[in-house]
Amino acid sequence: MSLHLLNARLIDPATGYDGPGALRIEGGEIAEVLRGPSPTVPGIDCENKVLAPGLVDIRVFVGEPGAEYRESFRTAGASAAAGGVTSFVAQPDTTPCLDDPALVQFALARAVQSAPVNVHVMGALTKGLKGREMAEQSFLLDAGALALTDGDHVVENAKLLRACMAYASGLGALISHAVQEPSLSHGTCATSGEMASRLGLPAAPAIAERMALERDLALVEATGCSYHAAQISTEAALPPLHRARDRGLDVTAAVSIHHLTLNEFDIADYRTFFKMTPPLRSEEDRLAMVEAAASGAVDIICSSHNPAG
Amino acid sequence: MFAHRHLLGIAPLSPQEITGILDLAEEYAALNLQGAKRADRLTGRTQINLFFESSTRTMASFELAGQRLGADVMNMNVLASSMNKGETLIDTAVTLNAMHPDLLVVRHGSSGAVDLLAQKVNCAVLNAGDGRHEHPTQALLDALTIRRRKGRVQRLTIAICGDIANSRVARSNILCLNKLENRVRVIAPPTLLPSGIDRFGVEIFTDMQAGLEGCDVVMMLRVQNERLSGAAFPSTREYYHRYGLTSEKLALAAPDATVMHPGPMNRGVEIDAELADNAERSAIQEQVEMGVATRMAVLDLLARNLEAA
Repeated sequence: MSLHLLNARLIDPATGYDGPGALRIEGGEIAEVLRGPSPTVPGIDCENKVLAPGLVDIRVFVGEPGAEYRESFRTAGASAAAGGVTSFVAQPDTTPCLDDPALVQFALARAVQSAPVNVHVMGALTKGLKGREMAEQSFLLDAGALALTDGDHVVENAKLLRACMAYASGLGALISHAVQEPSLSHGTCATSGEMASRLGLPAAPAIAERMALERDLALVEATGCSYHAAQISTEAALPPLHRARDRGLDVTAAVSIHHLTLNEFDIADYRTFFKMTPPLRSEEDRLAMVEAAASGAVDIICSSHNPAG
Repeated sequence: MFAHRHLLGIAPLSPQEITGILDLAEEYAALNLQGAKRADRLTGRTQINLFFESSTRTMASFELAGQRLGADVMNMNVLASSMNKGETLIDTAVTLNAMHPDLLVVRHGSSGAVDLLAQKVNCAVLNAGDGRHEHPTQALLDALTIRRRKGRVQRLTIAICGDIANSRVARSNILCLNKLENRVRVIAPPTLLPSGIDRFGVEIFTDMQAGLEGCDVVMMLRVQNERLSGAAFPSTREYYHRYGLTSEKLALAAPDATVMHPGPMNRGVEIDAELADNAERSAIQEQVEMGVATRMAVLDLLARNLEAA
């Protein structure tokens, strides 16, 4: 049984091709990639829409277990499939959180049952995501966790974070970490500036991100661990990233699609559905993020999908 | 002349609309001096004062204003601590809406909460203060007080001094006085200035002496010393030394400068007790008097638009 997908804009990252083309599919597998004008054969006309390998979203918050009313693996999976995302990585911020190997296995089992896409999870970096004690890193990895993270939470205690990183380096494990200086960002919902001040919203300065990132990168340098900045959103975070890479540290960073497409003006009129973590930034920062994503200074675009409300 | 369904802030008002409110308030100020203070503008109307934040003076002022216009007035004190925020706020609004009030006067501790509530009800909503956002009737009554004292509220130099960062009174006053073409100065330590204040169209002073020079009006703001002492300034006594209004500092302002305060005052923190009681210089009692008249004017105008609707 052969199927042709015709008149598509083919994007193939493996070869770098981006142009018109078609695919011939045999028995559920790609049998032939046809670049250039499509042949006149029966098939599905893609009307020049993008035809690409499934997207991978490495930062998704799912409410399962504990808050399925917000989002379950079934609903998150359906949304992902509808958006062309064929694999996503769920964060461990659940109730209970994924700080125990049995919970990691449970979440993965639930996901396999109910989500139509590939689901992976990250395990908790600290027990209860509380930032007080290291979680069982190697057991979590053995249970199937891809990496270790406290999700939306920041490990405030530098000594503990250093220990987590040093231990992880021995396992070759990747640590993903949110970068917001907690003492500046706690209880805020906007970025400091004219907009937040006019609206009277509690706000954190944009430098809260750079401060946290600089601390983390100093610890990465000291411990040699593999590190991923879960989300950056400000121009000020870019120079520290460049410096870390110049020193040969194993560092990556992601930006959310929201921080590429929206800015702080979108929260005007108190549109609470534009409340993000980190908060939306200035237009200058948004443009810097677009530039960084285009140049590769930022490695990954994620959804940071979080229906927490 | 007043084309709004709600009064949510000063921001949407035109200078002509503000002047119109002040003119009508002036008439009610005259009425309030008579023995028979009743006008029947709101006969048959129901006014609910819904306060999620404790208030004595503002609620009393709105209650009296409604009663003098002949409305049936009901006071509701809903302490924020007993509320589950968000959903309950909307639930409360929907419940009250089902009782068909005509005018809803709302105070809430969160910026934007009154805007949100206004979207959920059919009646006219009057913002009696939301978080750090706006307190429009305070700015209007202040403008009226200034106009009566100075003969105009235009081309005056007016200093607003104190906790600008956390004050909705400051925001509404800056907007209102700027719209009426006055020169507005803010005086505060850098820790009590909101970020982006340089884009509010005001002159910024951290030295009170310099800021007071030549001012026609000095508006003092209440400082929440129990919350800010040690966090935004070292101590109450240091604050009083640098930013408390005394007769000596006032001598730097214009010879006939008027002193104002939205109340309740912290005597000996932001203002010298004797100066506050000096009827010649202080317009603080007149502000309270104009408060009732201004609120009558606003209630009247909003009720007129109800008829039109």
